[in-house]
Amino acid sequence: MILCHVLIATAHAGADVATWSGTWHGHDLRVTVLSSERTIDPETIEREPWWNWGNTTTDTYAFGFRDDDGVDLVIQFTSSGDGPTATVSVIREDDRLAVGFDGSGVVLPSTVRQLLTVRPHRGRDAWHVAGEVNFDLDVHQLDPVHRNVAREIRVGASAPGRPAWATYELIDDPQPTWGYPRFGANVLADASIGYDLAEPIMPTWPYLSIGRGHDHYGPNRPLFYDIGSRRLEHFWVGFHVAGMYQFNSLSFPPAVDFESPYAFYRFEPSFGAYPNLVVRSDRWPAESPFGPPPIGTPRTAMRLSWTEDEPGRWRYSFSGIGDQVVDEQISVGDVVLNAIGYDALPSWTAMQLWKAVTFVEATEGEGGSEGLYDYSVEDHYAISRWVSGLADQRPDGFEAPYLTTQSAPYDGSYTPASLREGYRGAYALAYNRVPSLYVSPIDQRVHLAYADGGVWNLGHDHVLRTQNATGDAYIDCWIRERIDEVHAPPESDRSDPWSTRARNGTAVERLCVMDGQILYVGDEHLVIVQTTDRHEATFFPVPHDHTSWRLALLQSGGAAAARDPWHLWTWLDAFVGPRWSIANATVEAVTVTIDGMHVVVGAAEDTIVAGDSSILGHEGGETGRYVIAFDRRSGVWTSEAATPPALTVTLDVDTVRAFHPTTVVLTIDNAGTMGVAAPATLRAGDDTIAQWDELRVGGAGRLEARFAWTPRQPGERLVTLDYGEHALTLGPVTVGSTPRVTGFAALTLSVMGHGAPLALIVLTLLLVGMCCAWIMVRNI
Amino acid sequence: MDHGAQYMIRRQDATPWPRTLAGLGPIIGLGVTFGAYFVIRYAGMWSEQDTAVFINIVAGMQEAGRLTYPGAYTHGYAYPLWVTTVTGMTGVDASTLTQLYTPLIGTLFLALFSFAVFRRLLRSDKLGMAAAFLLFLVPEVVFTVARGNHEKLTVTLTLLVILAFLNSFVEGFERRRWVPFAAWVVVFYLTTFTLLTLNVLFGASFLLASTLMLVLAIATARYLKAHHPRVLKRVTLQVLGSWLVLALVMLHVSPQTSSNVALVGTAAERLMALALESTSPTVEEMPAFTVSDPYAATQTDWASPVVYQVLTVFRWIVVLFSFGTWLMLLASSFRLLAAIPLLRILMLVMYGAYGFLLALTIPVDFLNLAAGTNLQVRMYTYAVLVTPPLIVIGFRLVTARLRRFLSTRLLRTVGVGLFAVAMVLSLLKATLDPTVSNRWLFYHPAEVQAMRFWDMRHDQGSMWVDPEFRLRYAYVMEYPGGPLRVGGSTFGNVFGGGPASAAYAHALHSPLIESNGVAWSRALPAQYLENRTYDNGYASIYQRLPRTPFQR
Repeated sequence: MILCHVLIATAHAGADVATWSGTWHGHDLRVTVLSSERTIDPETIEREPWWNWGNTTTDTYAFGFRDDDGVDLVIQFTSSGDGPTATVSVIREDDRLAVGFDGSGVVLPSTVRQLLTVRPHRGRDAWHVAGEVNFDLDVHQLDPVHRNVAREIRVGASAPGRPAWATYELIDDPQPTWGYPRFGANVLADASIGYDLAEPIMPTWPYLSIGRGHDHYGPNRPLFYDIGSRRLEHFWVGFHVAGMYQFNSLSFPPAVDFESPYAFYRFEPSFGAYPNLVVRSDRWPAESPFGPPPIGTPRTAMRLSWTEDEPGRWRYSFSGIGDQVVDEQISVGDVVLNAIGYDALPSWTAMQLWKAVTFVEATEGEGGSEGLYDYSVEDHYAISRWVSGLADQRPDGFEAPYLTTQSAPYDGSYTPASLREGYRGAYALAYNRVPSLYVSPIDQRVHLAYADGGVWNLGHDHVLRTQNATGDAYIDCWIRERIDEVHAPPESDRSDPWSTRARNGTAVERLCVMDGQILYVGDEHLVIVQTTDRHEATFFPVPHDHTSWRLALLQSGGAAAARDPWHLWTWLDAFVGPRWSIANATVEAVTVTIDGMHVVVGAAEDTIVAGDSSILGHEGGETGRYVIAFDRRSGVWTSEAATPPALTVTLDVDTVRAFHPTTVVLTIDNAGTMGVAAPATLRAGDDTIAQWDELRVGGAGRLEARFAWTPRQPGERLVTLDYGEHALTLGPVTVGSTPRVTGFAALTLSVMGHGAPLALIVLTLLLVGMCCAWIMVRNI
Repeated sequence: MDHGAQYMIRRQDATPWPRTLAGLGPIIGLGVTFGAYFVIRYAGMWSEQDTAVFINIVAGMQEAGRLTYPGAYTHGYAYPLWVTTVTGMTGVDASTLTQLYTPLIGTLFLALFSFAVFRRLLRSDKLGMAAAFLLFLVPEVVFTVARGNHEKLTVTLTLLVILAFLNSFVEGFERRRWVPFAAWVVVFYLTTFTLLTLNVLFGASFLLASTLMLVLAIATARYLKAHHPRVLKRVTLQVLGSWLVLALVMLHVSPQTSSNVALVGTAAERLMALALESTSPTVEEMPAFTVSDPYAATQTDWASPVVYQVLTVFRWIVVLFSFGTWLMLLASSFRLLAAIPLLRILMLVMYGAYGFLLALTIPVDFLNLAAGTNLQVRMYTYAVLVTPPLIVIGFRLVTARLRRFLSTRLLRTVGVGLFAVAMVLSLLKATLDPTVSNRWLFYHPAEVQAMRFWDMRHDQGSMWVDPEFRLRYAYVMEYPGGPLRVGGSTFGNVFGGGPASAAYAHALHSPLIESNGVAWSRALPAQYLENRTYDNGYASIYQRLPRTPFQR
């Protein structure tokens, strides 16, 4: 039994043990004080609180936080010429009762759960300086549970009683190629935010407090033992609270990466420790191997999340990704690292030209300390490949995100492509500009200027999709879709964990705005409103300081009367102007492009037409199918009879040789007024030259497509186009042959050229001659 | 007089090792000629899969400075160690050594060791030399010892271990000279150790064969004890000693090679599954793996099926002729038990054992093991080492009959002519000459220059380089540790091959790539229609037109 334990304390004659038990702020507490050099005076025990029974230079304190004899935490104080040292050991659950006192010292189990050594930094010799807590410390952390990973922690102070920074650095990196935290730093960067030390359990050593659950927004707790989780946490300066400037890097300084930095800002003093703005980095300098590809270039993604007036409720978020190089250097204590400074970071982030961006509104707000992760470009492999030019296709996670519920657990594996119920996201995947926001007069909500589109997860398998058809700064179309695609995820595929993605939806209603023309299409219902109102609005920047945050609040506050996303037709009430509507009609093939809007309407006997006939130039509503279109160039609406697609297809092919690529140009002219959109396959004999899931040719439109074709066999091929229900024959194409290089030409192919056959002949003759000579000599 | 007895009467006494260069001249000339042609044919600019893989392994060992390191060759450390040592001693880099020098070393070793073994088995320098010449007409053997992997040593040292095995019997049981006997025993174990550290699977081929020999010896113990007392004990000792050496290597010297036990276990399980499936086809879950087709390459890798048949005709001559001779000698041996010399018994038994091993590899190749599907090709190289003496014996018997009808001069002329033709065919196949093969070994320096230019200017880019692997292997020869990262990082540029795909941002073009693509009947990449961004006069790089705002 004795062999299983390690005697930590040195035995001294006259060592004494005294125990106090009771409660501390409602928590059971049992403290055993072991004085190694003297006897604890009974009178002291009688008169003094337990922390004065021993000292903080040579004695040991063992804490138990249950009503039994078990020990959960031990602080052993030792002293050397450099000053005192406190060794904090967290005892494992199974070993609580294995801690013993043998009169000469404390006997700890052979392994403990956590081990922390704290000592005043050189030049200091006490836990207090000038009556204030000494925050100039050297800390050594050992995590025996996690492969004995050890960290050196340096805590620095701006003045006695107020820590300024702490740095954490891994020592003896066990696996240099693995991605895990190697460097961290916490800086108390905002001087206007106070440092309120929590009541320590042991006033003579003021760093340690205990409790169940750590409220980061409450008083500061440099060392906190969580009775529930039995873990010792150390936040010397603070964590994720207003004024913090943090680093969490997988690489050592100066080229820090990942969350470097991660900063929290307070603009409104009434928020206390709650921040108004957080800036999170997902930054990978060139050659940092732990981020997404390509490692040779900087990969920089940043997110700004901000609150409105409610502390602790994140409301909006902006994220951007690019290849920004950060070569500014800052110092944290003695450590120099590459990062944008605390004060400049928000404006730096808000003023960059980002390659791709997203904007998110949590319409009900979100708690937590880190801001909004949904729909962000952070930690996103696919978007990194896209903006680096490694991918041809845009990542589809933003146009078709996973639709999850508010209660969905956080899981980093899906975060970038998910949108919880009540969250509204917008994206722009080829942005290349400084981000700005505006409040749309159409829906009265904050939008990202120059967004490609967006999705709002309304819940109940409905989304409100936004589109920017004209490519300008503003959203043009709002489409409420019912998502019919509900499919069970394959068990093995963690990348598709939800049953619903915002794709293949059915438009329930749609409202589009273009040059003052509003088109509403609902169930058997179409409304046109000609308004003189413009849907453009004033831009304002992404909040990055007090002024811009206030401005954003002011703007979004103006959107308090935001419109109901479930009933787009009610939005029309806000717009005044001539109006024409048709009801009890079939409305199909709504097309909105940069050129205008295009709808095919089928009117029947009971179709009802109402409104200003001058919009179309005639009454409209005649029985039959006709096309209603708005042409942006002329600025007028037209209505004409719908004629079915009449296609003329031509194919232009260069000279074709087997195995060699050639260019094929397909041209389709549509003489009908109705467009056509259908799957298509272009074939040459058995070869598939091109395939489309949906090939769209507009009414009275033309499509020209160019692609490569590499036939493998010579001969004549018949080229056909299967287009929806049409099977079109385009004529024969003759493929010339390409013979394999053979014979002498093949023998001379290498760099030896004609030397190769020569070498073959000479060496063969030489060897054969040698054989003949040998046969003759040996007379075989 | 039966044929076996005739041979026995005509056999000659063992001759001393040729003491003059003239005596060894043809053998050295043989090795040098084949090795030199392998190098000269492509001006030293050749590469292939195993060669490239081992260049990277050597680079890994040199970088790590250790025998074991992440990504080390798990079948044995000795070959990369040998190359590392030679490069360290000579200052010649591993690629140059492999491309220009070691083919000569491999063929020279093969000539000398095979001659030494065959003259011992045939007890004649002339016949031994003829057998050695015959061995070089097997292109698979020439290719194996010329290319840049461990087999130039495993094949030639297998011959040495056979020689040591035979000589230990000759010295111990026939001549009773104990010092040479002890010396050969030491050579035997040292060579066995080296073989096992080169490649524990192929290095153990003689160990497996000798174990089979032991099984046969035990089966014929009564006969052996009557005519060759103590042989059974000697064979048992050597076999057990060899297994101890294997255990020493796998457990202590090179523990990473013990992973091969799992490979053997998997092979055994799958063999059982195949056997079960063939006997009870209703068992639905058998086999739990995809059956591979080891003969697929014969349809794709050669200019045409006819060319392949012509090139492999000598293989069938070797197999059938040696097997016929073996059967004949075996039959005569049973009839003349008392008169059969020990070496001849060993020769016949070795042939049988290697033949059995070769037969065993045929079903293994269908098991789709991670180790590959060409085990029978690989084992053929080892099995064929013991065939030339039998072919020579058979040939002697046939020519003895033919001499009754044809003049010796005519026979010599025909023989030399056939040898010349077989030699040319062997060289063409061993070098995978473009006249006969689609899987070309050679490259143009300008192709690699273009690849280097691209590799230095891209980060995690992708470039299609050829219809198969030719240039990827070539690049590794010139720049070890390049984009063919065997077991290495997933980061970095990618040189793609095989079917052309629009996914590649770049595509390499050269006349060789175009010719090789046509030879493989592969479509050339569509990128050739887009931007040509690099041209060095021979090779060009084509870049796809940017498809996104972020592509350049």
